[in-house]
Amino acid sequence: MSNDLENRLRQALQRETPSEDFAERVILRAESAQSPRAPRPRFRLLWPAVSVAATAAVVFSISTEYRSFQEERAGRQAIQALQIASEELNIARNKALNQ
Amino acid sequence: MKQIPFFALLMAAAVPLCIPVSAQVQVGLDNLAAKAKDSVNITLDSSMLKLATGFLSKNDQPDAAGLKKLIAGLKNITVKKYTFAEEGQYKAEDLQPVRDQLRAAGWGVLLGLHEKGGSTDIYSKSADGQIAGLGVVKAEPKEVTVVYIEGAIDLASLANLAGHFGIPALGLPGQNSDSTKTKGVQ
Repeated sequence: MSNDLENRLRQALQRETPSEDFAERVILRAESAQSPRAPRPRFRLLWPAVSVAATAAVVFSISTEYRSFQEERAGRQAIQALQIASEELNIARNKALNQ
Repeated sequence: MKQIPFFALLMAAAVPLCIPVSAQVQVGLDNLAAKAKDSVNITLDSSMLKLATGFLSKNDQPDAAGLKKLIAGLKNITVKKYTFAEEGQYKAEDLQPVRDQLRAAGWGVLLGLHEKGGSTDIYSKSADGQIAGLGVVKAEPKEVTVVYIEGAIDLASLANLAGHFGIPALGLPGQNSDSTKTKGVQ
């Protein structure tokens, strides 16, 4: 029984000449173990999508703010223009009445 | 070869048709700004006036709607007002191009006040029984004001806005006497 086990162990552990492509296969396996795993396609598109959305949000915010600024400036200028127009008409009317 | 002169003639005849006919008065006078002590230079075309109505839509003053309605009918507002430190900073000829445009076909003199030292001329253009354009040319020794408004302007609506937004009373019949008080733009 013990001899049988001993023989089997000896047989299993005996030196063997490696096949010709053994070294190549070891190197290939080592390289594949070291290379990082490719990210899943779903997460690979996440950061570009987030950055595009953030940029779009910033551009929208700036354009809305700029339009609001333009509206206010145009509104104030329109009021000032009508104020001057009204003043001049009023002065002319009073002058005409006094003549 | 004979087709080329004909084609050239055809093109030459078509060129005037391609040039847009602009009835809009060009106020100019920008050369006076450098000599002026104070100046107001406002030019609002239809797109800017649209923006102005957007601003008034957000304004909660009671007469903002009336002012918005008034501005909505306008196509252009140009106001140039120059105040000089001393007399002789401008020539009467500087204003002549504007006067000439406001005397063109379609325009009429509504009021002409000419007195020693200054003059005020008010021009108007009518269409469909209402004022479609208003021009004011005021020339005083130390001040020049030119107002040009293109579009359907209702003077009664302008008068109704008196006392609000800093617009003074026009003194038209039926206008409240207490509306001469003015408020600033909010």
